[in-house]
Amino acid sequence: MDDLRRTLDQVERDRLETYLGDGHIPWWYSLGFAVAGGCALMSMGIETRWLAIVVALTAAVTIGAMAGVAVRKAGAIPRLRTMPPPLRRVLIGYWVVAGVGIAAILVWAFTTETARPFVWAGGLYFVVVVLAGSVSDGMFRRRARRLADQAGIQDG
Amino acid sequence: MDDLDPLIHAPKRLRIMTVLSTAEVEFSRLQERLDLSAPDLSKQMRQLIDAGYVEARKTGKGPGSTTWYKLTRQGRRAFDDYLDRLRRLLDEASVS
Repeated sequence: MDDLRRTLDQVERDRLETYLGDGHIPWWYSLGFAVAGGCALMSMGIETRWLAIVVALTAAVTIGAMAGVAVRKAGAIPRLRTMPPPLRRVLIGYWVVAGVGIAAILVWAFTTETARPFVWAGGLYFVVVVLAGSVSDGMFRRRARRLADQAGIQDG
Repeated sequence: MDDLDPLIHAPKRLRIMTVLSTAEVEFSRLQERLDLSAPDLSKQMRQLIDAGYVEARKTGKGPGSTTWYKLTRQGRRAFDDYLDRLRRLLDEASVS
């Protein structure tokens, strides 16, 4: 029975290790996502239509390319469903906060009387995404380290 | 012990199945995580693919191409079932 106990312990460690090593979003992706998304928002205020389309498309392609590079570098696409709950809560929290923040910015930009609303909106978007990204990244790393310690994994 | 799927219960394949139960993983990353040689990993993967537990996806062409692996629905069911049986065996042993 000791063999079976060791087998189960190894399974639990291997499952956890996926999220400790590959689970978090790289900092440069958050930053790039913030810059490109901010540019896409600002492009809505550009009056020359073709230039606005070029800026928005460039931003979209940049976000897609960065996602591709991040996945290739990690060599893994972790599943959210099997992620340990303390880590999953951080990621979901990030998406909720960023989603609500971005929605509020968009509503404001479309309804405000301020001059150049989309330039402001782009800047605000950048701040929200960078702040939410860095706070959630810090929380993710702290919780991952705690889980690694509990499981006796060295390189958490 | 006889209840446990022998294909999954082998130590190397169990670790492969465990990692793939949490992520879709690229060949060299899997090799690095499990500390297996490329031929050994290929051999284990072939058995899991033949059993219908794992599926492979190639990306890119030529020398830069990579292969990604993930569990199939059947593989996920088999792995969950394996873990349930393993836990049940341990529970029974601790009661008796």
